[in-house]
Amino acid sequence: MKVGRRDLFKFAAGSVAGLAITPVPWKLLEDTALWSQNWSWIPRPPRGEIGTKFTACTLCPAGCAVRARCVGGQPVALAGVAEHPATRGVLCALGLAGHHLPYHPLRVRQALRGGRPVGLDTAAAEIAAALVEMRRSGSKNLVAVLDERPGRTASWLYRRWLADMPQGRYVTPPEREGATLAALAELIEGDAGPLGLDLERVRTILSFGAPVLDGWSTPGRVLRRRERFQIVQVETRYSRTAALADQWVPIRPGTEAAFALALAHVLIEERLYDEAAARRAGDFAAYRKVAGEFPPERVAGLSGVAAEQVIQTARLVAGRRPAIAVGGGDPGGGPLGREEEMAIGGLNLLLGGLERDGGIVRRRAVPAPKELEAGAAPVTEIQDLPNGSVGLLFIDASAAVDALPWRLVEQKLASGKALVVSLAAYRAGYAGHADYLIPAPMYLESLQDVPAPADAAEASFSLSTALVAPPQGVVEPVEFVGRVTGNAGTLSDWIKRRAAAVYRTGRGTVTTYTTGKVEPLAEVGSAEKFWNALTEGACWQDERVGGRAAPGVALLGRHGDGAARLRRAAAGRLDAGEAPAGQYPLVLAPFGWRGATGNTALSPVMSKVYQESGLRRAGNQAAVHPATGAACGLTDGCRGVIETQCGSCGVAVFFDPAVMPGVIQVAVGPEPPRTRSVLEVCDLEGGCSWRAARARIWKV
Amino acid sequence: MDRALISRGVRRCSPRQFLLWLVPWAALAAFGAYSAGLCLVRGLNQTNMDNRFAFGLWIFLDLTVIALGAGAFFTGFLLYILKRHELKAVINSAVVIGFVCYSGAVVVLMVDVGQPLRAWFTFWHPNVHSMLTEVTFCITCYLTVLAIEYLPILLKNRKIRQVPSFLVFEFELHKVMYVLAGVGTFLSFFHQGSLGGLYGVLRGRPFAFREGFAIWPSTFFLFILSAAAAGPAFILLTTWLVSKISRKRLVKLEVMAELGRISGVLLIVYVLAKAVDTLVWINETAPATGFAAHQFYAWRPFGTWILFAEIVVFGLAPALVLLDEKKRQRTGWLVGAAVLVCSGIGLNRFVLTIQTLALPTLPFDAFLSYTPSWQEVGTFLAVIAYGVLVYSLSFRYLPLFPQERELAEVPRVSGD
Amino acid sequence: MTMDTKRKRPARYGMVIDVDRCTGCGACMIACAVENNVPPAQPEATDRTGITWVRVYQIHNGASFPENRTAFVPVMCQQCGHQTPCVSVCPQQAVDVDRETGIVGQMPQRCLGCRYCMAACPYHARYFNWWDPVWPKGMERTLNPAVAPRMRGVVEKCNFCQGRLHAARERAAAAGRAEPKPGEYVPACVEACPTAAITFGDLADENSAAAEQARGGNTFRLLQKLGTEPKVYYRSSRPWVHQVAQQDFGRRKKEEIRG
Repeated sequence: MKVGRRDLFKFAAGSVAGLAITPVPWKLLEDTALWSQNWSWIPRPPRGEIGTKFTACTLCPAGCAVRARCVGGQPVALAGVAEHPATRGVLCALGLAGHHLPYHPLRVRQALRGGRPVGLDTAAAEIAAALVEMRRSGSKNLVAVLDERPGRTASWLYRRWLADMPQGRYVTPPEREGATLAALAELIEGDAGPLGLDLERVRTILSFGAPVLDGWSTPGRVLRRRERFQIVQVETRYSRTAALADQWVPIRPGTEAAFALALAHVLIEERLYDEAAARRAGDFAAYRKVAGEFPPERVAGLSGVAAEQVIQTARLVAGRRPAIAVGGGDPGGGPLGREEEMAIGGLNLLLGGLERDGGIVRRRAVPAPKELEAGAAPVTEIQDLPNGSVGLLFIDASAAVDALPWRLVEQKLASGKALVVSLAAYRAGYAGHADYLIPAPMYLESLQDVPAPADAAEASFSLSTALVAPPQGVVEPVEFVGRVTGNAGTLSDWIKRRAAAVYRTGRGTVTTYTTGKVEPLAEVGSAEKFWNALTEGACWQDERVGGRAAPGVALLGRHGDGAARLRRAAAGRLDAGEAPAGQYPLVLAPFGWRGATGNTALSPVMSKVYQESGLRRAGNQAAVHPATGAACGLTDGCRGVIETQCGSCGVAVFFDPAVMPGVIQVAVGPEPPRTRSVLEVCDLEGGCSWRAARARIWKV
Repeated sequence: MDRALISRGVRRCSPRQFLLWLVPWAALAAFGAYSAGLCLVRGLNQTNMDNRFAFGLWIFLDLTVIALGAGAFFTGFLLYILKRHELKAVINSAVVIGFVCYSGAVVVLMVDVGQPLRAWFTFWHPNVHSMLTEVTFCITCYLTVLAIEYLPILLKNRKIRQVPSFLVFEFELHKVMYVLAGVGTFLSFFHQGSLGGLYGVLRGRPFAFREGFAIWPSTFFLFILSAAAAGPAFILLTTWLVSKISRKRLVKLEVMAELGRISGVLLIVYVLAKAVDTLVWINETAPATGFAAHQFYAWRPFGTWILFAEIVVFGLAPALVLLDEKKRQRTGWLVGAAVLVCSGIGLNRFVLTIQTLALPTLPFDAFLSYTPSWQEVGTFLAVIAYGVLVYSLSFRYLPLFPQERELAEVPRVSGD
Repeated sequence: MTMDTKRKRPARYGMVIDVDRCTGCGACMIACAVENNVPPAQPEATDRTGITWVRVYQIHNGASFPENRTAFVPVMCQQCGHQTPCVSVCPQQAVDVDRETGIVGQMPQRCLGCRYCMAACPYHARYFNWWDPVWPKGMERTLNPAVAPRMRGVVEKCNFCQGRLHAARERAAAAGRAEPKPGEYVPACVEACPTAAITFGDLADENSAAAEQARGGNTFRLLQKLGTEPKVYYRSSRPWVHQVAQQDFGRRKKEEIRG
């Protein structure tokens, strides 16, 4: 048989036709559907036994109780715990995705020296040697620990150890949410002890820029009973709290003190104040004189709020008591000044809020182990440290929440040879400025204690248990500092001792999450049982402190210079600055969200609220009023440069008619890579506030 | 070799010149293939489409080329069913154009879907209520019909005709051509219509939504009419263009005039229908969905001028020209009007696809704009290059214009 | 098991969102992404190419400082109950309305990514996977095993956390009940909302809290006139919110819209 070319063609054609009636092509076709679902790069969720574990969130001081849905022990979803007496089942956006954080791409898994990997032991030895050298050379430089989350057992350990070192200082960021209470404590004669806000019974919250509804206090305490109180929001920015407040009072940046004094003026003039409280104030006459210098008509000129509105605000607040006035500042914009807090504290006294249900109440401190409490180093806020004084600085940034400009830290360092050791879980925030970066465990990776937040109405204590194993090579920051400074100690042991100290008080109640059962602490049985309950999901809550005789107060503080300081602050922060108003016609006002101010990592799915919806402004996004923008030659969506006396930084400009004309609102937060944070160009105003700076902006 | 492939009695440029003509188009096609490849391999993130602009340049392209390719079915319908024999002069060219347009559109659709591997799902799990199902079925079927219609033209190639069995096959094919034309016409009417229905049924897009007859919104019928009007105009235009480029007379002026007349008649019907439809939409349909029609045109640059241009400039004006006996005798008028008709159809498809998506529906949403990425433009250009290549090869080696040989023998008349 | 799990009357799950309570915190968006394995954004993703089944829009009263007012409106799939626009357009039946629950479902395994449903949806509540889903290394351990991650090239949207419905049904069946009790099945966003602004329930059950609120005054639905009978209601006591959110396209000025 002779096979020709044509036969071959025929054979091929026949084969193709024949193949079509076999199952092969159809099976392959069907397989394409499977392939497109099961490509190897599409992750498959792991399977396993589904269970529930409890812990507490350490991403901010509120310490919300967390119910973790776990698959094979691994948390796959977090939710609040409705049974928790204070947090009431609330978890914020950050907390809901907290279980992603251990796997963040910026995670540090190895010690770094100058950005290069170094063995943990080597790093410890080198830092210890530097410490020895400091001592040997008789240097006067300080050894400081900057603790970004004071109040933990770890904080007590730092304080105890630093007390043993002549040059040791325990340093915290400027008081933020607790600032009003701290200022109030200063106004009270004698040892006031910790104070708290009775948010459960308050009827009016007069907020000076505090983000009351947007990440403030313990969210469950505020948000779950929003109907029961009114909010008067005194703030330049039309924040989310301002948007949902019962009244928004837009004031010019930096005029909080003047506005508070004007309110005091009206309260006094119209005899709306609490006369019993006034009688207890030894300096009421002097205070009245200061307030008298700030009548609504004058403050209208300073703050931009019409005199009539000032008067109405005062009447409204006085008419719906109990009322609380709160300051505290903004997570990104920084604290208010101390004078502002003094003025706000004074308002609380005038409104009769002290020692009253629904006002400011006393509470007990969360007990700490005796060995630590006795002889603990005092707390120094960072702005109170002398400039150029720190030779060795440890930054425990493992629980950082609010913004703190690096410049504020930097100016405290001894020039030239200061050593900075950052103990953090991520290559974020100060990590880039540190000589050593020591990897710390993240939330859910180690046992931590969660004491009551600064404004709690009673002491409380719970545990954040470790639900996942930390990566190899991470070290508990306090244990690393202990090792370098020659202090042995295991954090978890000390936390257990603290729990025992709590147990010894015999007061308060224990709430078990699984059952919702509330039982008196005294009935738990033993310290060991208490500990077991805490680790399995329970919290301790102290009882409320009963009424005490109202103490004497000093509305202008106990130092004698209160009146002068208050006058100066009330005359206007910005006008006191050195920057000429002509050269810098605008005001830069940074703002941020709690836990999202750029000094720690956010879950990658937070992209939903930033990049994927624009619901939140990301770092270095600047909003200006369209009229201001047009006057500066800007266009909506353009790139711009903001310049202040302290430098300049690039921003993305957006027009927003809700912004006060003349103000540039810039978000502090996750900024694009290789961008200079706007915090670094903010005016530090004597070191404790950076919420407003004279600035100018132009298009690039 | 090249010489032997070219039909007897016609002259074609030198192979070298032809090659020079092909190279840039081939380069463009290659670039487009690369662009499309990127979209297939890396995904549609290569485009500038987004969740709001879910459709973009490609859907506009698909709708436009399919409308322009309508000449194939409509000429076939007129020739084989209505026996307008003078159209025999352009039917081959029309089939090639139809084939090019439809195959190009199908290829682009394959790139446009997110999971091309699952394209067959529509056949396997069809949702009979979806206009897109109707489109998919009709287009694939009609593409098959076009391929079969293309076959006899291919078999007319001088070299292929030397194989006796092919000659027989071609003869047999010619006998079924009437059936094919009928099937093709039916399919085409349907999918041209369902392409219009595609947007007309979108209740959630009040700008595009239209009431209609039975399951079909009015755009269904408007699309059929407009495509039928644009198809002959596009054949007229391409014939003129090929004639200019190749510097040859390809068809008699009467044929061109006839194409123009057909287009004109259909266009005037379309313009009237469109005007009525617009009035109903403005006064009934849009207000019923809670939208005032005039506000659809409040967003720059999509003002009411676009409606005026669509109906008057690109509709009524060329229709009147084409209906004028005297003007039809002038190539200039004919071609000018054909350009307007083809642009008009493009504008209409643009308005329906792009403007519909640009307009916000939620009261607090914004008007959006969209600029195609280079990958999208590349793929778009590739379809054009592919069309030019296939048509050029067909023109060179296949007898697309039966009158060409006849016209080549008589001396050229100046002024045509 | 031979237990009769048929219910007598089909449910019509829906929700009422109290706009006055929404602080725009975004907890719903995060809880949704965690529950439904929605991947983090690609670096080049924007608010137009990202995926967030529930998106909180910020609406404005159109006035300038200091008269400006803002409200937050979470928009997810509105679960249209009549002539559901996305269902009829899908060429391969990847979208369906569950008769038992009224929930509009999306089958990503069936979807070929033609995006016709996205063009059809007046609420822009449908999202396309422009990229393959990518989680940072190790984070795939935190994925919810009840929901399969979607591949590139398919459309997805809110389905009222169908996985949670299945789980609730399983729990109910284990307890010998035909259907979950009210409150046993709630979508992740409802559970996560810190201000309890979302009330979820069976609208067909007249006694459910959701039905009660939906009937109450001050409620509205988005694009009600389109006649698609969405099952997501909004509530506000602020007249301007009603005006802006319900305003006909026609009577709106361009300046009132942000962006």
